[in-house]
Amino acid sequence: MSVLLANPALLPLLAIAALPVLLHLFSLTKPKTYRFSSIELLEKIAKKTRRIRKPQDILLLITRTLLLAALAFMFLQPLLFSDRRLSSMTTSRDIVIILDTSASMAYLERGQTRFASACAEASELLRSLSLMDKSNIIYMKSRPEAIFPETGSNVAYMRENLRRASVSSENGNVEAAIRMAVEMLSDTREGIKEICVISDFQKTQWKDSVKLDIPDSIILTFIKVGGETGGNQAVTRVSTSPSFPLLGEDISFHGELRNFSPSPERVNVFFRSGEVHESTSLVIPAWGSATATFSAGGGIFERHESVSGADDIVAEGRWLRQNPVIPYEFSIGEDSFFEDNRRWGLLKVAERLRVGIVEYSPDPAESWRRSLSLFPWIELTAEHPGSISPNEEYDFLLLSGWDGSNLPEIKRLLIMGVAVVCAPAAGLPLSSLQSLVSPGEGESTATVLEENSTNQNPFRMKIINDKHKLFSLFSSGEHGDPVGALVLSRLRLPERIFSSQDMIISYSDGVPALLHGGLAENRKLFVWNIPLASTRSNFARRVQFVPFMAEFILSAPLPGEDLSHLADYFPGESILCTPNFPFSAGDIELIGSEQTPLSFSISKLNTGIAPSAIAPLSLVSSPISRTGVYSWISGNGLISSNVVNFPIQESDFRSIAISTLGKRGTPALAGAGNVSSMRNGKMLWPWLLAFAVILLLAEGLLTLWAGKMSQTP
Amino acid sequence: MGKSRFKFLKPEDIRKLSNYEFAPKYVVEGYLAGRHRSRQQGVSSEFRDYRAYVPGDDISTIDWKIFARTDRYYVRTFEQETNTACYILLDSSASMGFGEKISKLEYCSFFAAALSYLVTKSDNLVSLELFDDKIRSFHPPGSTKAHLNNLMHVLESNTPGNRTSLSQALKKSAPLFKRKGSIVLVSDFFDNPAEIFAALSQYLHRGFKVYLFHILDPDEIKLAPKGLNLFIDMETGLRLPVHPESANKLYRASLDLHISSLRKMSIRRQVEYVTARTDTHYYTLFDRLTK
Repeated sequence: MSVLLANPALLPLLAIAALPVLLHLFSLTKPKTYRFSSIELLEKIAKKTRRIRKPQDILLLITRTLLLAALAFMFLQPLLFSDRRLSSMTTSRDIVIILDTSASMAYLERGQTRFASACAEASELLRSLSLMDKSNIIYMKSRPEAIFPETGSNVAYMRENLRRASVSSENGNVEAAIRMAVEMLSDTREGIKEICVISDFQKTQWKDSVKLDIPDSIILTFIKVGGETGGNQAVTRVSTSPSFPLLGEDISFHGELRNFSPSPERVNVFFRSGEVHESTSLVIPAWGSATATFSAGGGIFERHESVSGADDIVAEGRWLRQNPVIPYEFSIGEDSFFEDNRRWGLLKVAERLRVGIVEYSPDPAESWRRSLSLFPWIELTAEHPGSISPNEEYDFLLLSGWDGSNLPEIKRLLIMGVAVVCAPAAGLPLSSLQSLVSPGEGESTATVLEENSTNQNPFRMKIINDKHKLFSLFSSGEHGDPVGALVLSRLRLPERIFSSQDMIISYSDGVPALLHGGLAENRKLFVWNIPLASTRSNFARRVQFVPFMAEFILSAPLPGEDLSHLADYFPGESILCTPNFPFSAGDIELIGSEQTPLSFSISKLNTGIAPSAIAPLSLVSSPISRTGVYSWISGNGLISSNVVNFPIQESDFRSIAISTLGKRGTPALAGAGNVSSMRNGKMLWPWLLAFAVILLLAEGLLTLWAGKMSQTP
Repeated sequence: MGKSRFKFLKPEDIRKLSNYEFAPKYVVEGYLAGRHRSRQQGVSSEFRDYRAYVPGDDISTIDWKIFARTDRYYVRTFEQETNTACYILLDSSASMGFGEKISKLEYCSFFAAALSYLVTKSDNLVSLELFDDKIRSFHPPGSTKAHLNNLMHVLESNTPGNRTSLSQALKKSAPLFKRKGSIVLVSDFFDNPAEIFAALSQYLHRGFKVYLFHILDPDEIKLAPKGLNLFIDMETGLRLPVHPESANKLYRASLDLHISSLRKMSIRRQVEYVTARTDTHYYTLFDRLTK
């Protein structure tokens, strides 16, 4: 650090600091003489007072000298500069300004947003540059953007760009912005290289894990805008239960609210879905969360309008085929930051469950067919083993007496999220069963063998996982024991088939009867080892069998619970749609939340889901900047919807202490007007004045103390 | 001595002192000499004067005529009984020259002159000794007018001398004090109290009545100057820088201790001890004597 004087002409004023010393020396060398009768008594006490007086005198002398020096120095108007800054006054600089444009910068404080303050600082910084300097600005958002590809001298354009810039709703990618800046400066000429980050340094954004990989040759400076904490409430999560209801099923909508402030807050919560409007009020504890729940019956669907705006109320089935997802919205009243006050979700309602039965052998296919056909909400299809296609839309695929064929198709269906219930056939290599989950699983060389029992000593089953949803209907005991059947013939399966599995029902000797395998790989594979033919067991003849099958189907995780196209998108990302029918670009429109059309492109994106053989292409929008519900529409109606929600981490306005960033950069300054003090030097006169006041008080106290000590006999 | 041409005994002083005619007689005789009345039997043929009757006096010496007139008892005194000496020892060291308006030496000289006058007026013997660290001059007891005049001259020509040594002066004076009587020591007592009383003890054993008059200037009680001053000892010439403001309280405590020490020793030895400031009239010393 270096100090420069704004008023060097007043330098001789510093001589005033020598005044106390001179007076002190003068009084010591030439005191007045006084003839006294006898100094004998005085000699004794003079020694004592001299011992007390001397250090006090010295302290007083020092205090008075420093006081005068501080006052004199104040008039010289000293300015504190960093050495680098000083050297930069004569050397060319390349400076990249990283301006935080993430959503939190829209927070309003003292009449202006943090972003406005940041732009002012950036503009001030540009204004302080000399003709030799080059600069550039990187807007830090989810995908940072620079004004120019490299540093340049067009400061006027950059300042104009700043004036027109606006804050985004996106999360800020710190590492990407820094990387971009470093790359930009790596190709620059010799001279000083600097990265200046202007941000609110949000805690959730500037976590310790954020790596600032900056070479030593680059100066990194932080300028903080915004206060330490900003109170905010937000809707952070929405969900439904059940997640994928069936037509007619009661649905509960849940909205999680969080309070990012140090005091509890009461908020009004609003729910909207089509013409359904509900509201409630609740208190969210400080730095805590609360959940608002609204319940809706099956009639909710009747009250939805079509997206096209037609006011006809369509029949449920046809409407749902046209509107496969239903958007709903949670919101709270306005606060000082309203971007995160709304959140949307998409509800996918299934008209029916599509269950396919592939009959490799009649047992247990016949019994399955007989029982499942009783339920109107199950759409049952019989599939020939040779006709299994991964493009067929099943919710469930039941394999009766699977012999290991169609392995790739079945694996593909599992990957796509279809629940597969596999009743293996005797003689099936165990490795085939295992490989349905993952290639690494198929290492066993054993073969599945059938074993028989006698009437006198049949095989008996027991429930292992009684918490499974399958047994919730039977938990009261009203419907009897669902697994109390007698089994005369079964397959001899090992207790552990997969590395990650959930045994639901087993035989009394531990042989699996019904288990869920491939949990770690997120597969919905069930191994069925319960014979249903009358010669092999009485399971299917029992009254509990039909409800058991219904509960089993309903309890199994439905396909698409992790459907990516129903997942949240965030501002700055592109939304996708993969229609499963042939289309051309002109047929499809993307409508935003403000009912304005948005641009998109068609590409062969690998979305992780096997593209349809018919339609191998995906629709990709331009990066979405605003939150809301976006709908892909064709002439036949709604194809798909996506929601773009506010990134939760931008809702917590707590910022980190700049000192913690000190290791990763030069210490930043806090408060407004920092750039000017950083560039023009930090004025020291207030500090000197404060120092002088302290010295004045100290001088008074010392004088009092000296008086007291000398009076003490 | 109706009119005086002496510096330390002005006509107005004489007039005031005359008011002490009867009482001072008592003071001189009854107080200064009262305890030392002669124990010799018989009465001298030479009538001297009257004095007040004190218990123990021979009732045959009571003058009944005065009793008839005044209703008070007085006895006739004879030459032998009243022939006591008053030895005035006047400290004339350099420190006695301190004092802005009036030096201690001048003040004490006034007192010594007045006391000498009173003593001789009552036909008693008065002696004067001037001393510093040694005896500068000794004037044997006398009661005549000429003797008094001589003492006045001595007082007027007296100037502050060297260092103080009360104990030395007292020790060396012993052979000079042949008659019993009273010793009046007038000084600023800047000396070791123990040594002073050690020197006085020989007089006390011999039956002398001792009176100590401790005279101080107000500026010696509260240090006058402001700010840092270089104090120069008038006797030794030693120098000492002192902050009077910060030293005053401690100095005063130290002085009080010194005075207290002198007073305690005086009480123990049945010595009269009187302190006085030079800004009070020396008459007050006589008032203190009569208490």
